[in-house]
Amino acid sequence: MFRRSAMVALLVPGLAVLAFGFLYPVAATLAAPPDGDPATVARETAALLSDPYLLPVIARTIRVAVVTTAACLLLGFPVAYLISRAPARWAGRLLALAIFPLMLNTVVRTYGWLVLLGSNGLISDVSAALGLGRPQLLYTETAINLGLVQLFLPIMILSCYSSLSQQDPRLEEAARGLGASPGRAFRQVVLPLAMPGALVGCTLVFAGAVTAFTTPQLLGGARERILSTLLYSRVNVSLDWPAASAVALVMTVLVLAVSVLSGRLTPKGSAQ
Amino acid sequence: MANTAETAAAPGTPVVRLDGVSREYGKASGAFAAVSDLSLDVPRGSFTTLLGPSGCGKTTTLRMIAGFVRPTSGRILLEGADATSTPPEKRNIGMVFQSYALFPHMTLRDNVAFGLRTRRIAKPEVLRRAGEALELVGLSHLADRRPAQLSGGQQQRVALARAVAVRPSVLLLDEPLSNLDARLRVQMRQELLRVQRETGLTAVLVTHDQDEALELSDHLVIMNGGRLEQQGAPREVFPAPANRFVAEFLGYQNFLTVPGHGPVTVRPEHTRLLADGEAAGGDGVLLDAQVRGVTYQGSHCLVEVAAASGDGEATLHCLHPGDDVRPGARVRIALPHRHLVALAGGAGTEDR
Repeated sequence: MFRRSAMVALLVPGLAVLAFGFLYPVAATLAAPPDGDPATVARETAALLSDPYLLPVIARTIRVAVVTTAACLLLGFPVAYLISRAPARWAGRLLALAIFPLMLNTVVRTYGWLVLLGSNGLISDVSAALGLGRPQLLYTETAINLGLVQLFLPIMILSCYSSLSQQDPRLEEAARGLGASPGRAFRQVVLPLAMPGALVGCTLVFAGAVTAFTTPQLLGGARERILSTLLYSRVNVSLDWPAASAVALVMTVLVLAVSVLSGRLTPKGSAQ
Repeated sequence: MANTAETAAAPGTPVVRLDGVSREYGKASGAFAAVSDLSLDVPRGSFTTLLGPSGCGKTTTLRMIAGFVRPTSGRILLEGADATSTPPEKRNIGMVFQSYALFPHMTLRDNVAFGLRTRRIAKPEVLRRAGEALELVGLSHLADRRPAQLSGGQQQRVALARAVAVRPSVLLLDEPLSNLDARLRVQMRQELLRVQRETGLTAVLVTHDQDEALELSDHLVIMNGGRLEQQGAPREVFPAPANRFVAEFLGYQNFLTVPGHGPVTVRPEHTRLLADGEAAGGDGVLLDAQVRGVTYQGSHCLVEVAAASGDGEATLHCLHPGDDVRPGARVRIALPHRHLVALAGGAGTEDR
């Protein structure tokens, strides 16, 4: 056990990193953008929120993040459940397999998708061979969704697994013994108890999908902009820093809103 | 509360019948049999205990009765009907787990009502019966609490209430007292017995604790290595263990071969230690022995001796009322015929 003063001392390095690495840049971006005053950011934000070209970008960002989160949850939860109920000697190997994609560089992974989805890619070739023509796969919202789901699935699996593996498997048996069908036992016992992990997973994936850059840049390109790729082009192409600050502000608000919502949804006292 | 199950079969039918049940694990080569060819009846209204060391197959047997484990061969009959492949939720069982397995996200009332709600019982009836079950274990006043706010003993009582609330055909108790501290464990035995008597339910208890088994059960089943070693009423089994394994498990320590008797066992309190020249008195077997050690226990001494028996030297533990023997002394041990328990040869010893 640490004494209180020692505890406070341990907090200092982490807080310092947060203050200088996160809080200061955010405050600086909003309050004193590199060339302009706070009023410029406010004006740019208002412009962004009323620009008929940019509003669809915000809508697409939300859509992509929601679809990615939902798909990761639907695909990841069953995998996490199976791993948590697998015999111990299998669980470790399956988990390692599930998170293996995290060890690959994002650019490498995304180029895999380029090869698959490209106009001379595997899917396109198969489609053409079947006489269905060559559909546009690359630089679509679907391509972004595919890439992001693959990118974030391991995170969702890990989050759900952390909740599920803490569950006493006897709880499910107790429910079955009391007359609940496997479906009912899952809905009324397994699922509610796994909610905290699933919500953490959803928050992480949503925030990740909103802020991911490499994947939407390579798979969506300039054709299917989302906020993160828009931000990049504002900074590096049009060199419009106040506008970039406005985009960053909208992104931050979006992620904060979802994480507050997730906190509200987490059942009180759900920690086991 | 009503007696036994709502679908009571004929009075003579055993509530549970295991008919040549085996459960093997692993592939055909090197398969391991947790339970081998076990046949067993659980009499209606009985408190039956499966007793044995860890790995003897008692828990697997209970889990097969519950339906969580499918036998690899043999049949399981519940209330006279073949239930071998019936899923747990259709078996009308009430199970209490060692880990309690209370639903942490539900109040005690909802925990107890869970089994009633799966049974399509009208809501007022569900609440009434959940209340009754909590009343039975003396926890009505905590109905709105969550399991985490309770002590271990209270949690186990809720688990018991949850299991009996559904009026199961059979109450299955999987080492329910093992997680409690020693004092509470002894208290909870009587609580278990009271609830079983008041509800009139048939109970099957799994335990490795012989005291618990002797105190609670009216039908004792002793298992070892996946097989049944001996069964019967505790009062029949305890004084007459069938073989060395059962005898050792029930706490017998003296094993020897006596000419004319073969392998026998005898309890320390039934031996008499005779000083040099003292008359034996009465019929019995007399053995020459040398005292190895003396443990003073107040009202008596526990004397360990090396005695010459039919198959060489045997170590015997004798209860001696005096404190007049010392290590090294030459003595004679009298073993009355009526206290010698003949054991079936071989079985059990090497399995331990």
